[in-house]
Amino acid sequence: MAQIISIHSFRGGTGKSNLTANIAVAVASQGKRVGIVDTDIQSPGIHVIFGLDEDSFTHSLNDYLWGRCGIEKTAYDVTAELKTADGYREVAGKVFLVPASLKAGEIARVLREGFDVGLLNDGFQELTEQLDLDYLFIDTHPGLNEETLLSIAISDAMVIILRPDRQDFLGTAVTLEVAQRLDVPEIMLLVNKSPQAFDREAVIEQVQMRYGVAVGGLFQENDEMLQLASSGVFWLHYPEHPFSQEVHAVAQQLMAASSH
Amino acid sequence: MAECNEWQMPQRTGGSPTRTMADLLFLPDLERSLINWLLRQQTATLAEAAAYLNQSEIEAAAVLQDLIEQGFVQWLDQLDPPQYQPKLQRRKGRNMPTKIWDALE
Repeated sequence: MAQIISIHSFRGGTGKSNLTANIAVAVASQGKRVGIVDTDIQSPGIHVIFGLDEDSFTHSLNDYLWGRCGIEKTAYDVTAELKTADGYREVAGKVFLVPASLKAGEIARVLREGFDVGLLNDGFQELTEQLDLDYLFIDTHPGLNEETLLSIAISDAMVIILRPDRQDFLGTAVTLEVAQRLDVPEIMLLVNKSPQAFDREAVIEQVQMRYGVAVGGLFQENDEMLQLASSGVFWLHYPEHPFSQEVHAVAQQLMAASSH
Repeated sequence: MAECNEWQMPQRTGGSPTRTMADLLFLPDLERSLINWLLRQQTATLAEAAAYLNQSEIEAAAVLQDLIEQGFVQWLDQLDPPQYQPKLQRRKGRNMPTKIWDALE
């Protein structure tokens, strides 16, 4: 049975989509069949990291939610599009992406008309069955809304991303309280965009002490990430970079947790 | 002064209940846990729900009936065997002047 992992942050700009893409591809590189759904319908974008633009996909999650097509029509096999710094990289598994529309009119329509939240739950289940997925990653909208609450509620594991920032710290407490009320079995915190000047172990200890939840990884700010500018999956471009090593360590932890 | 519980279900007045994912957060532990479980299962029979709750089917049926009346769960009696399913409401659209929406579409 597929493991559903939701990736969330209380505030925007934490690097959620980038980490989602990196971790999902790292899991796929271990021979797993992985799906990624962009439920950040109001501010989508993870498809850009996989080299997709509006012209390269005909159906999006929006089409499914409006009853225009089945969920399987919205899933794109991006495995062959995984670029490295000097070409393409084959991974042992598969990566399927369900993008959300980046067209202003379609985003406005979701806000204007809403959608059937139950369809989203059905779609996740159908997707895992039809694509025979081992893992389904849900890239959620920052903060809390209906689809984010559903994604959290049905998750086997939840990854919460925060920066070492006071506002993120307060917001993460809110997310954790909600996740605990929704009985999420596994919760992992990831600290992203940590300044190089901060002591890694001290930050991890501070976060773990504050929330009583394990920190699965800490990612430092780096120039290479800024230079890549969401034009690819970071660890494929910089496989030896400490950020990439941390991505693989987190992927291993998530896979180990799901095998319990 | 009465103790303020931020997770106490807000009182609603009139009309049939419509429930959202946010309402789920305000349910007492037992009911909330049952719906969380039902969301992951998608549907469940009375026997499965009773096993999850570790209760008799009569007790579980009473809990589920209360959740049906509150608008959180629906009973799919056309299925064989009949199943309980979470009743997720439509995510409502937002109210803004039509002029703004029309400009965006």
